[in-house]
Amino acid sequence: MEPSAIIDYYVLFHNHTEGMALYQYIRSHGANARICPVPRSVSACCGMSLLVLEEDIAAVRRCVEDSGISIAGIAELPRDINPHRDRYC
Amino acid sequence: MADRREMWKALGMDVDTHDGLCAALPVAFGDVYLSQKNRPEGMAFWDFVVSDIHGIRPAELLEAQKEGRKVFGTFCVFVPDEVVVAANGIVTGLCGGSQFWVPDGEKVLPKSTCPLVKASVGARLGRTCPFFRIADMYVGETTCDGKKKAYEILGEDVPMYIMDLPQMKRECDILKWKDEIAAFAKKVEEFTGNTITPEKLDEAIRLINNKRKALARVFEARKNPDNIPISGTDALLVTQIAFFDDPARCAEMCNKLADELEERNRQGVSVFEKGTKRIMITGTPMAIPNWKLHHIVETSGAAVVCEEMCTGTRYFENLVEEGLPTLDEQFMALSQRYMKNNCACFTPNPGRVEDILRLAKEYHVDGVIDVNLKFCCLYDTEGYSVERALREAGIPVLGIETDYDDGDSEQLRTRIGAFVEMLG
Repeated sequence: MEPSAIIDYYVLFHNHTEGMALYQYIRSHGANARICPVPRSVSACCGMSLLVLEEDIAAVRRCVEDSGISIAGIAELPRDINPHRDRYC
Repeated sequence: MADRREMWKALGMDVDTHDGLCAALPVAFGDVYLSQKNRPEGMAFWDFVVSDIHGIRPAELLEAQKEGRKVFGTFCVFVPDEVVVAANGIVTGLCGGSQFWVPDGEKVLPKSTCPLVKASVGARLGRTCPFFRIADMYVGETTCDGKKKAYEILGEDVPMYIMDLPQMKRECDILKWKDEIAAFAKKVEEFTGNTITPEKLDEAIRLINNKRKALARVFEARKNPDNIPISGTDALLVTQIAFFDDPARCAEMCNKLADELEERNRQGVSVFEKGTKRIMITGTPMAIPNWKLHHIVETSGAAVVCEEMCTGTRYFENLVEEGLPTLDEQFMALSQRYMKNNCACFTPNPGRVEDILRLAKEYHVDGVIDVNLKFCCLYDTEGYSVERALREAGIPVLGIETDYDDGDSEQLRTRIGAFVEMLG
């Protein structure tokens, strides 16, 4: 299957405390993000990340700067969400 | 992100094999949950828990063990959490909801065993579930033949305690279950070194009742006939995690979610278009991460508004009487509450059919899907009377037998799609 042309952004963290702190900061400042497991192609570790859509990434980057919360990076990936894939774990 | 591998290694887990599950989770979670639109904000908590499902809670349990607390792993809604909590113990659910664990279970069990039992045994013997490594004691019950025999195999590897659940609901059976609860309390006292007093047991009864009330509030919001404030897939996740979480935190988070769902109902905020067909699922439990059937239903033009199953109404309906002064009366109250659960292990079991007809009305369902895990003889056989009663009541019903494997997904999509279309 061709990779999607849509890019999703995943904010990565050193620990889940910082992850939840940034999520709450983002939501309380009117920006959007969703909590999800770290995509496998980004990290071999299990854990949380924040999924951010292209239209929201600028606001989220500002939240990262303004809040001072430490992050491990932001990964860009072609969208890989398919509700009809029927691959369960 | 903090690497959990050191913790898993210290637990004696097969980290390399477990890695396969870690690899599958983000894709499945993305397809099932991130594909949904307009989810309640409160679901962020459960997304957070799932994203590190084998990390966050296991780490908490290990900390509690360092403080001298004991962890009890349970397989079923019949084991009274209240007794464990009254002795300062912790109850946790165990792994059993993924095809990932089935092959290791099939090494020792017949293939013709239900996938829930095979996965549970496989998760333990394959050393790929942290909860199965952490628990100090495992508490089984005699609710099905598959589990009874599996406990004998598990018992060679882990300390097992079995509660003998009566299979009928006569007065003598309720008394028998009360005695079983009293004997379990004695065992828990010995194992934890803590005495269960009436005061401590009453406190535990109130705590677990509060958790049930909070889950009931989430479900109550799903009864709104004009609005669907939460997807069935999300509600299922809430129930699945409830088996693992701290009961006070579970109640707190469920109450917050219920506040939001009630507000959504007032504002008419729905996760589905108006007129979406409302489905109730009945049958065997769906342990985490078994999201297959809900996801297929909800991507086939319908919404799941109720689960009549152990990972659903059977988990929280009926409360235990509070404020009783003696252990004897409290054990009786516990027995009476737990024996109201209409599991298919009972014969006769007319209460389950009554529950299903009642719930179909309360949740304003357009149709019912009676789903049974393969080789679950009890629920499969009871499907005969369940489906007959629904047809007689004029409620469309679809009977399905499935397991954890992805192989029948296309077939399920075809059958469920046709069923939803038939609902009009």
